[in-house]
Amino acid sequence: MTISQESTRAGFGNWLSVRAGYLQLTPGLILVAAALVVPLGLLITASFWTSSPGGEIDSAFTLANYDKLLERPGYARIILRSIGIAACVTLITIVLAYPIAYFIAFDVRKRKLIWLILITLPFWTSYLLRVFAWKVILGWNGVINSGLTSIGIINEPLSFLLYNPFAVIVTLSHAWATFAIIPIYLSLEKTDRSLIEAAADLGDGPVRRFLRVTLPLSMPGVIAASVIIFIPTVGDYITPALIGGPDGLMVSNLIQAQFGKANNWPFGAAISIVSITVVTLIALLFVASLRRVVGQIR
Amino acid sequence: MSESKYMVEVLNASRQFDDCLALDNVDLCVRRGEFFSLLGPSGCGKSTLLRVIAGFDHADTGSVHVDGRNMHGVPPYRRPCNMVFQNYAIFPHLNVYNNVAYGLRLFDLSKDEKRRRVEDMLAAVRLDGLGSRSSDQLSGGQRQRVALARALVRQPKVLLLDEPLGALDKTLREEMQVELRELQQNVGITFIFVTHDQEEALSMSDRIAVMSRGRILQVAAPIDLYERPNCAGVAEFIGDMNFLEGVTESTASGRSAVRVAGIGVVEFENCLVSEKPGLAHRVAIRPEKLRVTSQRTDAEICIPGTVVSSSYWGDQSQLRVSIDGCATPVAVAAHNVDPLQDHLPARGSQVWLSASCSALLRFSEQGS
Amino acid sequence: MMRHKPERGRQLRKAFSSGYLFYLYLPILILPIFSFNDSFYISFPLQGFTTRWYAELGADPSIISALISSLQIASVTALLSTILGVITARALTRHRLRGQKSILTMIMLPIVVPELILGVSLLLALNEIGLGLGKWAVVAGHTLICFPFAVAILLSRFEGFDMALEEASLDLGETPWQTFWRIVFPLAVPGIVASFLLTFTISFDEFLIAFFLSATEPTLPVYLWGQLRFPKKLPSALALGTLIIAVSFVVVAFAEWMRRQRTLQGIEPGN
Repeated sequence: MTISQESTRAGFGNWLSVRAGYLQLTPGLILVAAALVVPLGLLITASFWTSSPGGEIDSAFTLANYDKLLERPGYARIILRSIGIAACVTLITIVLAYPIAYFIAFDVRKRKLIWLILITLPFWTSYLLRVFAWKVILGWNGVINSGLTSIGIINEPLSFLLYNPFAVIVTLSHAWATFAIIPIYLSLEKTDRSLIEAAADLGDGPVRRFLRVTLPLSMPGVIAASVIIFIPTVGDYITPALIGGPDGLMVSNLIQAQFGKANNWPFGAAISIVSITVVTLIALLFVASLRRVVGQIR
Repeated sequence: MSESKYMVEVLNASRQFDDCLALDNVDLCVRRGEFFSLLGPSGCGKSTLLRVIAGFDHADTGSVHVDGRNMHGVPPYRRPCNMVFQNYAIFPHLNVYNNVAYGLRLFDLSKDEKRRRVEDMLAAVRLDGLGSRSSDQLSGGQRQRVALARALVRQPKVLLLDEPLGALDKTLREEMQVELRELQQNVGITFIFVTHDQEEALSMSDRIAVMSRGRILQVAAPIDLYERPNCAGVAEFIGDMNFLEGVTESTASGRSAVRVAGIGVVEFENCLVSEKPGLAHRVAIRPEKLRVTSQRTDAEICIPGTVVSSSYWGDQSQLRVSIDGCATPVAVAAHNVDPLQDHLPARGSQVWLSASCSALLRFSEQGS
Repeated sequence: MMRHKPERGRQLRKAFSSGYLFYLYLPILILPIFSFNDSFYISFPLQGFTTRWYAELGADPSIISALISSLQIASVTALLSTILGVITARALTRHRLRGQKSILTMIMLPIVVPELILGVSLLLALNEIGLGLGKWAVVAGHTLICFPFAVAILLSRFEGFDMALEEASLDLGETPWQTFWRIVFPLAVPGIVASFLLTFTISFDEFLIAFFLSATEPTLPVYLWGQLRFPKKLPSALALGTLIIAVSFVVVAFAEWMRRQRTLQGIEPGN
């Protein structure tokens, strides 16, 4: 850093000292600490408590909740189902999102901004409403069924559309579309065009150019998109609650039940901790392995 | 408050950043009403010094006085200085008029007086009529003038300019150099001007301080800086200079005899500090002080040489001549005054270089 | 310019992308369509145009109070998170503080943690401490998740800010406080407005945390959720949904336009 740049920063250190800077950060950090860190800590602590049938909480340290989770296969099944659904959703969303991200990055010249705004706007509408709209679309008497029936393509409503994992996957893939497109778009947009042209110059056709140059270079965006979609999807509540039916129940519904009707908060806390941990581990594993795979596509 | 002889005094200032010493015991005195330049390569500390004077930075040791007042603890908004920033820092959300009028808000003047001042200032920098122009519609040269007007309208005691012409193209820059100089002489305000361009400094300044690595090497008027640099560093930085190896042969009563590589023994009327026989030091001569002829002359110094390269520059020619005893060829600059001499000495031709002894400068190895 | 690329590929991608856009907006468009449909059943064929579902909305007092709750909570949340966002973003861009990256990670944490976990742990914490649930609890939860968004928007605003502008103002006689109001604030206003509007929208639309923490004072989304169980209420729920979406669209479009005011670089589609 040249001296003049150094002195610019240090000079201002006089007027609003670095200490004041830390001071200004304090309110925000207090917010996060008080509303996030402390409650999360409490959640972890509560997972070691138990609750009596009447709802009284006994704060004696015990691993009973975790035992219960490991013993009964039903819980593990739901957690695995949640992970499976999230993985499907991630895959489908990214596969569908990639072409449009590519389109905006490479094919659109003048109206990039409009496309990007169009893609971002749905994200800002109420998630609840979007899920509800899908419920309406996929229902027994819903839009798809009634539409197809009235046109005459089918005689009986399709039953597989709603209240199962399929419905959950379809809905969630739609909900996370924007989150998939933007990171991939940003990655593609930053790609140095001359690299692709060099590949063409060296004899690669369009498909090979894509596989050997464009795709690997866009991997950071794809990885970012995967993580952004996967982690929250596992913990999604609204979609499985409205659309999943008994077969499509996910971990979040389980947790909510513990805090609701089942009135067993400590158990709910334990499920929460287990699911967060599992999901984080999977995400880290995924990112690490994908990076290695990408390094080998040369 | 006594009327100090100097407008700005910096006494023994040092400034240490994490990994470098930006200012190293700097002493500086700027006279009232003079156009004073701080000249040096990037990283020499000139901008730091300017910012210390302005109040955006403080010296770890030493003090700064402006108009006789000690500026210790005085924030920039209470100092009688104003600054023109390198990138002009024109406020984007204000138009030209409001930019220039910005600093007048707290002045005890009536609205009309303020308006008159701003408009006079705009006229002085040749921006009259552009008051309502928005700042993103200005060219580089116009932005520069707005920055100037904005600072000068407050009638500060000292105007500090941080490389204000760096972003302009050559023609504009040369125009602005002349304009700035005239402006300064018209308003009579002390200017402290930071630049790395020596031609700029030489052409505009009353006095120049050459800086290197946080130290001031020499403070002098342009002509003194050029003709009588006090150390090799200044000699090298200002203009072109040929350096030759010299070894002292003998000293006697304030004179010394030095064996100069390529020339022979030369008698000097002065002695370097602690000069003894055997002292190795550098001897220097400006390219234009060497005359090129095809025959030997009766100048004090006349040596033969072979032309290595020559280039024609219209009003002058530059030759590189290799002489015995010197590893690097000597640069010679010749004015093309005589129209009969319209062919340059060709490569490889033998020429004679002439100079007088008084054109030789000497510096000890450590500088001045 | 790639002249090797077949036009065919481009056409295919364009067709796909247009289809994708349709797929993106389909559910959002379904709501308005059927909110004007004269039938209790959300199915084809359409039965005729009516606005009675909207009229029904106006007549229901619990909707009004839920709306008011949502507006109150969203306003307070937007105000709090934007103010905190300004202070925090300013501190981060002005000084080279140590541990900048970890501080930023901490601040962005609420976005990464699933809303369910946030809601549940806040519920737990508020219960343990003995503070009740209700509007203020929701404000706390919403401010937590809106704060990172505010910081992100304002960070990019302040990062492009030329410090020399502040120095110039100081040099011209203004104190740091005055400099803030005359220079920093005006230039930051587009970002501040955008942050306010976007955090308002996030809070207004948010369901899950409100679901856990609002108890007897439901917000509009929570109220809507309750209505979904009643088939007779379905169309008016659609009407409500349509209104919410329409307002969100306008607010967000305006906020995005605001955010891009005086952006010198090209595309910045960041969320």
